[in-house]
Amino acid sequence: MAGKNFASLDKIQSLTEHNLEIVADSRKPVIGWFCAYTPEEILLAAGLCPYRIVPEPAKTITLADSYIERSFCPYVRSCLGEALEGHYRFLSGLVVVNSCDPMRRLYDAWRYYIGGDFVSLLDLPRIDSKLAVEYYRECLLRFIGELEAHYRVSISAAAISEAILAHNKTRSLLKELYHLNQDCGMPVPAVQIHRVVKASTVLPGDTFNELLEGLLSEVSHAGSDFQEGPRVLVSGSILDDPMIIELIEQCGARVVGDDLCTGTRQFWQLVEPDGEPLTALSRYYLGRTPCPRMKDAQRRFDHVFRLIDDFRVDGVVFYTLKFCDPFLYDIPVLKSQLGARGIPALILEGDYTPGTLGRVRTRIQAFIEMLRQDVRAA
Amino acid sequence: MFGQLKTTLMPKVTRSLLRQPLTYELMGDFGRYSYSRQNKTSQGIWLAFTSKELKAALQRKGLVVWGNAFAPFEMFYGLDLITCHPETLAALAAKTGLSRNAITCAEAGGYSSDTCSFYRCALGLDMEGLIPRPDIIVSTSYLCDGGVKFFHNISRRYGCDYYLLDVPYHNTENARRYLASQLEELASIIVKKQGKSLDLDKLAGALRLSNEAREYALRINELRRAVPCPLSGSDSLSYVLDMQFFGFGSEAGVRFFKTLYEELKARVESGQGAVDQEKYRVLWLHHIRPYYPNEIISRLEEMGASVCFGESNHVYWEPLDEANPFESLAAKMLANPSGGPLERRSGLALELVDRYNIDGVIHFSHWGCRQSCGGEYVIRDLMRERGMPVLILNGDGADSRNYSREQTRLRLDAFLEMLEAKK
Repeated sequence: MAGKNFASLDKIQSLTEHNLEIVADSRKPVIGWFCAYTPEEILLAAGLCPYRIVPEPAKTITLADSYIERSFCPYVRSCLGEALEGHYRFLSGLVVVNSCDPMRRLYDAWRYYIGGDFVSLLDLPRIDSKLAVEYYRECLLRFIGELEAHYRVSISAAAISEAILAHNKTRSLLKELYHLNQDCGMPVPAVQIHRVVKASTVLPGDTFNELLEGLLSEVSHAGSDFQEGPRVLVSGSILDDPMIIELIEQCGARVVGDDLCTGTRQFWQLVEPDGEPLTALSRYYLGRTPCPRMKDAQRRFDHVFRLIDDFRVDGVVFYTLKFCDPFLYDIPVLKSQLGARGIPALILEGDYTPGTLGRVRTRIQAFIEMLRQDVRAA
Repeated sequence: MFGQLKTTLMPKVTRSLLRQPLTYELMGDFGRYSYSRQNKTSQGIWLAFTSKELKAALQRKGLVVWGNAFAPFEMFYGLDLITCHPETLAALAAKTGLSRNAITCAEAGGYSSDTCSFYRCALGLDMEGLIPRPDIIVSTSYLCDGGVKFFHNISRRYGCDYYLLDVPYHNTENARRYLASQLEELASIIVKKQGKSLDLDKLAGALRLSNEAREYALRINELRRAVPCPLSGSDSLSYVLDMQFFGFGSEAGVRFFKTLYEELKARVESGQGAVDQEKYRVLWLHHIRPYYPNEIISRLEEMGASVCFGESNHVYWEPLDEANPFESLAAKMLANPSGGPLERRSGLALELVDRYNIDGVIHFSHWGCRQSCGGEYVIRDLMRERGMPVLILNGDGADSRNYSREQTRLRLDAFLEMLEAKK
């Protein structure tokens, strides 16, 4: 869908393309991160410029083949490939979260083949019990100590509280965008929505928030030429190149919501204000809608069902990165729960390159045709 | 007619027999007798122990716990639980030809062929009703993501409690405290389910048994430095490893390691090796090897290469402190070289190369294993820096569809040539 023209959207897109210059202009040390569980609030409180590593799909994945097994997360292999090519020399540091096997191994391979003055691994419990919250708070303290020692800064509780507020604002605005777009008849195409979410991870927060506020104002005044079609929710892991969404929409369906690391799971909840900011962060990251790596998978499934109700979803497309074990094990369970609710699902896998999409077009078309018939029958 | 019976009736009969407690009783007795006749009494102890647990689980003689290879089995024995380890059953299914059907069953149930075949096989065995059902499931969050998800999905299937022991990445004081608290909490959950109170003396007894077995395991590892190496890689990476994962804390564990020690000591004293003319000494990296019929170890041994040590046989933990069971079990779990940063594992591999006078290293690259294979190239490069030949052997531990005899042989032969050239 072409969609309407929004000046703020164009600006966000253009700044995302030039994000490296903007980051350089900030004159702050840039610290790279990968996983949506990275507590950016602490990086902001340290006066650093957090920057999510988003490799260009398909460009460098094969470069990593001599350094990491091929049956391995394609996002991680792409990141390593670009790093081997020297794309990330501008980073002053890197933080890897202990979220999954591929991230742990990326941490090892990065240190061995690429190196860097500051490459830190932040542990992340898989449960959200009181014990886990306390332990994770201790991990955050340890991480703060490492940042303070390396960057010679002092990270105050007040600065963390301030960063929580700033980040909460980004989360609230993104959630508002999803709802407003829905209420206004989806004037912003789903592909653009995903580009906006991506921009939130590579642009400085204040710049991004200002642009997003502008976009919200434009959307609230926009008319809609929304073409009805089966309403689809995309569920999966990392989706940096939203071509699959474009493809689904080209086939006649509307992508009305998502359950992605690079989508709603990143911002659907807010950090609860608390007297002590580290405890608040600890509770938030362990308690929010979880990635399948967390023990309580049902909370994610419930999130999917809430989105299905809120956005009147007709069918779910699972689109996950190849070799992503936590997702691969969740799919049969979630698919069966969806089946019990009469929600059809299509399972697709991606390898972080657009090359394989052509092969799945027919399957998407058939799935959408089936949804169309279901919608008509209803 | 006979062919038809073999393909249709036999699998049904086999499956039906595997659900009967008597089958395991007979299997244990026969195994003990048969292995002792082959001078492999230790292997008989392993089979009898495994069969006894399966029989007890089928008879529901107590609470049945399913656990993964890195769960604290000492605690399970100390709390009088009947244990069941699906990873072992998957390996046994591969060995006996039952895995193909089980894997197909799991894949038909929506499990991707990109996931670890041991868990796919165990899922399929469970779907076929071939594993005694659990009352509680306990798994550790390491070594791999797949394990966590497998055990959780099984608990959903049965609607039983699933306790995930969240093992921290860093081995710090805080981490030990966090893990010890979880172990203590788990123990109280279990005894509550049993309607008992925690018997610390019984728990201490299991830790004592674990320490006794550990002493023999250390002596066994010392004996494996002998030339020729007295223990075959096919044994050390199958039933010996199984007892290492699941036997510590049980009386059978002590009996097993003591007997194996005596067997190996006698072999060393008489100069008997796994390979008669030992030309090369190989270190095996990865916890497992393929368990379906294959020629990997036999080909190596035929060519004079002895797999004289595997990283998974290394005793990495300090003796357990009976007075502080939860803290010391936590310390044991955190000391695992495969947890935490890769330096722990690679450092151990380099140390083992020296300790066992190794000529070459094989890193088995099990399809679907991210945690281990994600670090294999770094380890390869570290070894190469030291001039140590390394073969990364791609394969699959439980799914024979991914095994090619010819290709594997070609790669092994090229590796052996490399070892020969270095001599």
